[in-house]
Amino acid sequence: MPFDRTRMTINYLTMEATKQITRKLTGSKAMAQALEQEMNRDKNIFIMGEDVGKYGGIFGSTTGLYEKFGQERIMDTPISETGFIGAAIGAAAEGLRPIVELMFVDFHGVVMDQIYNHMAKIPYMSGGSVKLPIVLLTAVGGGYSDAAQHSQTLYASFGHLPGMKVVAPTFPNDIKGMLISAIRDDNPVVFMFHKTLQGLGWMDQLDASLGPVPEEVYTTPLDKAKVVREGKDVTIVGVQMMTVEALKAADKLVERGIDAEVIDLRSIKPIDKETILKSVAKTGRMVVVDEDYYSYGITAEVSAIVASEGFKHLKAPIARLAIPDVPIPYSRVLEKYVIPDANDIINTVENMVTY
Amino acid sequence: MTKLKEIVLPEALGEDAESSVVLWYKEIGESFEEGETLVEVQTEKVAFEVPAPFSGTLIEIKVKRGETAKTGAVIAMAEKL
Repeated sequence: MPFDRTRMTINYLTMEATKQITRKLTGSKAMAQALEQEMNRDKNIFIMGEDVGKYGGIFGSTTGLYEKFGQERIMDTPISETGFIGAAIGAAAEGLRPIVELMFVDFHGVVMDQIYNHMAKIPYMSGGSVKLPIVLLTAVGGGYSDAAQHSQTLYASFGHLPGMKVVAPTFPNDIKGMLISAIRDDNPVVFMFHKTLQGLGWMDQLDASLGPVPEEVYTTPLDKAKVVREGKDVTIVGVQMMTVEALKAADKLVERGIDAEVIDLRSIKPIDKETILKSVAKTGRMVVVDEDYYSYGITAEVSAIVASEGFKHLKAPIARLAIPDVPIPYSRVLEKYVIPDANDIINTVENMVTY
Repeated sequence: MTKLKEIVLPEALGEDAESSVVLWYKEIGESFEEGETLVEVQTEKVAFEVPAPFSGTLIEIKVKRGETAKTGAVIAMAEKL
């Protein structure tokens, strides 16, 4: 069978046919491609972080960029998050467009004053006259026995603070499109990428971490959730690995006669109320699944939106699945126990439809 | 009829090294040029991009993404140009 990777499209205004090339990429390659294409476009863009240079980022986000752009634009930093993220904020205030990587989101503690008192507040306190076009990349998530200080997602900790956009895409094509949007946005954007979805050789290799990515430059909105599976009986809302688990659960639920709709949240802040409410209006039931902690998190936020603005559509109480309020265990067995998975979702949905 | 040629995991990965396939850059039916990256593999220590030993067309992938193979093992079959 001949391999057809190109698709011919015709622009009817110019009647010119253009070739659109789409390749299967992992999450990390999609990130590196977005960064490379944007750095080629704008000389003001540069990258700073720990091991982002020759090493290419410990989760592969900057692979190959040091060789292409050199040490002036791909800068390895000392282990001093306050120093280099603070420097990036200063550079952004002066008109450059820094991309800065916080290696693990868990390390935000040492640099939080720079992030939430400076990066998130300077545009507001200057009345908009100082813009901070900065992207803070950070790796999130567990599931690979890296213990309590290297396994958190902390979506809600960042979503809670005004002044920053916070996104967490799941699939390679969204990773590329949303990273390009984040770079072009004149506001600070926290771009969270999930380690397992980077498709690295030394982690579990999931099918979800490999997907078709157009080679051309494109943008994906930073404020829209996406219905990744349509259904009519129940809405399952997830982010990153929880979206992957929700899709797995939905496939199994079909065998039991339940047709689940799955929403990939993609954006933590702003949150896309419209997509969620529209779905619940159709299905009448909702499960929210989160790889972050249970209390005060995404599950609570999404539930509150539906309880206040979509209550009349609900046929059953909303269900929430998240990490119980404990640090994430190092033990493989215990870690798997605390992170919600497809089976937890299936059990929850089955109880819900018989309510 | 053209004869199929084997593509093996190169010696550069180290004798007896076990590599897992991370990403095939080429799909079945796709052509490639000598020296172009065919596949990325990962050993215990490093990620390595395997260059095409000749120009040709990929016919069969024997070691898929996520699977492992030892240095010298046949990972794919290709038609040489």
